[in-house]
Amino acid sequence: MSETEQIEELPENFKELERFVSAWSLASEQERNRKRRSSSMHEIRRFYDAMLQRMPEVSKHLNGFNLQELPQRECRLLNLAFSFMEIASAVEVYSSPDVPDAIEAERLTILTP
Amino acid sequence: MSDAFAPSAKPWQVSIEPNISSGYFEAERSRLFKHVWFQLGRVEVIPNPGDYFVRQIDVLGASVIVSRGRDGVLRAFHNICRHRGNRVVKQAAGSAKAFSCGFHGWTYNSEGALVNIPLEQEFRGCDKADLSLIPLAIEVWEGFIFVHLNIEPEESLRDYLQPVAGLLDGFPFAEMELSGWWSARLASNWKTFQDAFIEAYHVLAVHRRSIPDFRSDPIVPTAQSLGRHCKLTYYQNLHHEPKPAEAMAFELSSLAFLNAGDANELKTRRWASLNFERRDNWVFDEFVIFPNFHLFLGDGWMLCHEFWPVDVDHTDWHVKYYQQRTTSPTVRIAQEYSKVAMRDAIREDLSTIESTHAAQRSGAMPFMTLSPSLDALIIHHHGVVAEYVGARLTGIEP
Repeated sequence: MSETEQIEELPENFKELERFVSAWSLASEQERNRKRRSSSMHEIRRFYDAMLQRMPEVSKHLNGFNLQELPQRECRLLNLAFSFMEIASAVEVYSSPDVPDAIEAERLTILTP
Repeated sequence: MSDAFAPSAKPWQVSIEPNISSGYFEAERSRLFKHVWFQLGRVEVIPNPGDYFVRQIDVLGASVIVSRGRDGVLRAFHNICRHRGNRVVKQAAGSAKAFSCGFHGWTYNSEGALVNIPLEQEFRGCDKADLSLIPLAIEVWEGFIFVHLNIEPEESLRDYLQPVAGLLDGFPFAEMELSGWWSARLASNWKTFQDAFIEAYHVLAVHRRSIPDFRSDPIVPTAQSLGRHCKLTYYQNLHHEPKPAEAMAFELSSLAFLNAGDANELKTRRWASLNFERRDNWVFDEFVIFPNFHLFLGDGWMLCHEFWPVDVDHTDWHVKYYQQRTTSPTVRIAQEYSKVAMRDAIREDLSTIESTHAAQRSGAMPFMTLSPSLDALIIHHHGVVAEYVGARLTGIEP
């Protein structure tokens, strides 16, 4: 198995989501928000559709774990779920990657640890 | 200010001058900001002996070190070396046994005492005991650290906060964990900035996309004057139709914001001090702690806004979003939904502030027309500022 494949590995039942790992499994709010704003609606929509279907199983799978002791693969899956929550409103509410009629994103500094 | 809250009151015309006048800002600086308690953060940020953080308070021209001493006691000092006044600490936060000034090496311990002067014999006759870091008054309320410029303030923090101090009893502050922290510097007067966060009237227009069906019964939140402080109690629409991700978040955790949820379940999670009208559709209480600290308390979360005046036309703003600590990944997913929804809504809120200030700055419009109910806290807040400054809230025609 090549190194890239290992980095993108998800738990057994979620193999079809692995194609999203490198782009969307991001560890910080700042990275996830930047990714959302720099993506096209087409790209966001593809990720949204794939995740929406699997979210019930994703949460069911993660439910057995402790947040502080997540194995790497589960951690990647959790960050995908966080990205889903980051982009959901782009699809469901705003029909636009970023929030329209809001202050420019660059003006708001995200200091979340 | 009780008139502002009377249902029969007529609209108020409040002068714009205090929002744009440099003279008024100077009066605020000398008569208000030097005489109030400032909230600087949570005690959890500096849990261990030697932990410290430094905060710049532009309106006072002060840099303040908040330090936990080796004895575990919290202290606040001016960040000024007693030799010739250099800043002793340059880092924003850290942990240290001692603070050593980078200019000539004068060194202070974490209790603020001067412990070393290099070439001390050249300062013969100087008593180090007289040259400790200059202290500020510091007190803690519900885990929030407050400081006062005057080491012997006119009022204790508890007295200053009355009658708010007892109204939050039972809220689980210790269970809250920082999950979002956002900041910005806007070209706006600090009062105009705050005004955008002390009324719900704007929700209908500013948040028309994000929360179009927020309209609730009663549509006007309940405003209360609490001495110099004040409070707004917000209600939500229990018939709100959640979108898919939102519905998922609510299903994963009842603590998601804004949770329409199950009204019966909500009843079991109320604090006697909050939701004083005991409504099923209560969503949060907002306390405006004079002069610049807004504390929103909801079910499983709190939001802390700080508005720091820089000059008459600029304000530094920090907001910290806290959510109930959890070990469950699925609750964290629901919380992530809430945090993103909160941040996106706040970016909508920030969109009006600079243009409002710039328009007021033009001087073309002499007064704001404020509703006695919808804008009640704005009238109250500007009124309390005016009392400190020794001005009257001018242009009023009640």
